[in-house]
Amino acid sequence: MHTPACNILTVENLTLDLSGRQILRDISFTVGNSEFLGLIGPNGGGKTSLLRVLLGILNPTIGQIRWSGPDCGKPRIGYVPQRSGMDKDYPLSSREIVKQGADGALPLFGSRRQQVNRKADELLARVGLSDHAETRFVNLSGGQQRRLLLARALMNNPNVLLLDEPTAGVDALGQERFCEILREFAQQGIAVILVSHDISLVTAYADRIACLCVGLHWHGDAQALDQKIVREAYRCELARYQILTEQKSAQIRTRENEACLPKHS
Amino acid sequence: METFFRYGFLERALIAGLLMSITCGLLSPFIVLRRLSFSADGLAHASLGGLALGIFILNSGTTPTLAGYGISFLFTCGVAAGIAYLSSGNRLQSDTAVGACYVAAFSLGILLLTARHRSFNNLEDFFFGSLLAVNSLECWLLGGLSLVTILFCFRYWRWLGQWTFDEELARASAVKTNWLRYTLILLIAATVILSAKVVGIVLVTALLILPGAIGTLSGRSLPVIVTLSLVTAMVSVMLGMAGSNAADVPPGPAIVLIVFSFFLFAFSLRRWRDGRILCTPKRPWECS
Repeated sequence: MHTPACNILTVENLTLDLSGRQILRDISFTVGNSEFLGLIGPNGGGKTSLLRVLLGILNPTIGQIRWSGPDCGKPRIGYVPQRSGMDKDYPLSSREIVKQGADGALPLFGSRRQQVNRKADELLARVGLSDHAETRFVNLSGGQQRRLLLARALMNNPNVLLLDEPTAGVDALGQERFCEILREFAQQGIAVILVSHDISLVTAYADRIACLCVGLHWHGDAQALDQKIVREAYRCELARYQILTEQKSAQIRTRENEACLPKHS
Repeated sequence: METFFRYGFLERALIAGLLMSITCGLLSPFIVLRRLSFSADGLAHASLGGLALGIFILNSGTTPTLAGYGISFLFTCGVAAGIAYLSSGNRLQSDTAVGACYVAAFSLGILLLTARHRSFNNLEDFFFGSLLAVNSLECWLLGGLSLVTILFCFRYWRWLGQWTFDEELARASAVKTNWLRYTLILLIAATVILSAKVVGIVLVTALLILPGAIGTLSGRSLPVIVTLSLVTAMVSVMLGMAGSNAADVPPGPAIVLIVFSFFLFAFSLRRWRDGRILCTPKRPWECS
């Protein structure tokens, strides 16, 4: 466990309502530079929504997000999304996809183009995909696609990495390899926020864990996380589901009772 | 080629065909990569409603005027907005919305045309084009559209690349994805309307989809894909026009069949290359 030099992210009293439903409730936490934060929680707990708020894709209903203090520098965010929404037949090569991560809207020319090409090759080597630089995205395995997306996210020299279940569907060895790469980045000063359902993996590599179930159920050192906390956090979703089911059942019962009542003329 | 420059109408036809192929060749890869092929096809059919509305309101002949093209463009954009509205909020799949809107607009077009011209029997001009009847106004409009398309693709080249890969990832990288989507839809709407005379509203879909499909089958980078698409579209139009002139057949179907033959060639080539490179469960002896 190390002590971060400064907080690159401060989230204060964040609440998010979408279509009349509360997705996040009163969430506050900080992330230091070179810190590896694992975000865990049940399905529908708000993990992906929190990342979307941090990215500015969704606007919080209440609360605020502050990126970095004066000593931490301007935030440069790298993002690795859930793989499910992507075009599985995308025809571009690995190198081209990594190059897409570079800033700007105009085409690349001259020395800038060479610089971006060099950087893309370096990053492909760093995630172990040098041999697949010309392979089409569609022809890569699931684990390779995720490492490629990580390389793409690193193209802008980020100081914050947000990753949404990047190891889902990857074999155990691939997951460990992926998290080792993330651990190295954190040691080099990049703040890493990793959303995952693999609690043992996150506890093995992250410095701190935040357990989300609409509200921030638990937040602390990875070593302090125990089975009881996890069970309570996941039960929180179960409890929410049970309340909703009971409300629904009560409504149905009331309707049935009303229908069965003799009609007074 | 000499024949084309001997007659003014043939010269105009060649210029219009090439300008249209530039626009379609540039837009096509982004339509294919963003999976907007059915939307483009729907808008192409819906544009008949717009063209007919222009003719009906202005009480003009079967050749649309500048005002007629304006009305048609607004109508087609209205159909695009209708599709966007129906498919928003997870109530309806976008392909269902496209299917519902385009048949309504298409039917409206047929009704309006038959209402204004009781003996109207030249519907095939709208469906399959009448390239030789292209006038100077249409050449200028196609030139303007090509210029706007070139500027759009150049200015937002890398944003377009990011957007085609993954919308959420692009938005996270501060790419204005809605701006790209709406501009692309507007450009498609303008293209299908102005291409009605060149290849017709039914056949323009081929030029909006097939060159991009050829590019994505053959290329592994966006510059290669777009260049292949552009070259295929231009060569197909030139060969189609030359072939139709030589064989005395309509140019629209000739252009479409040539671009389709290029597509078949690209598809076969990709299959052959993939067969050489990839090992599949059916061919385990190729796995190293």
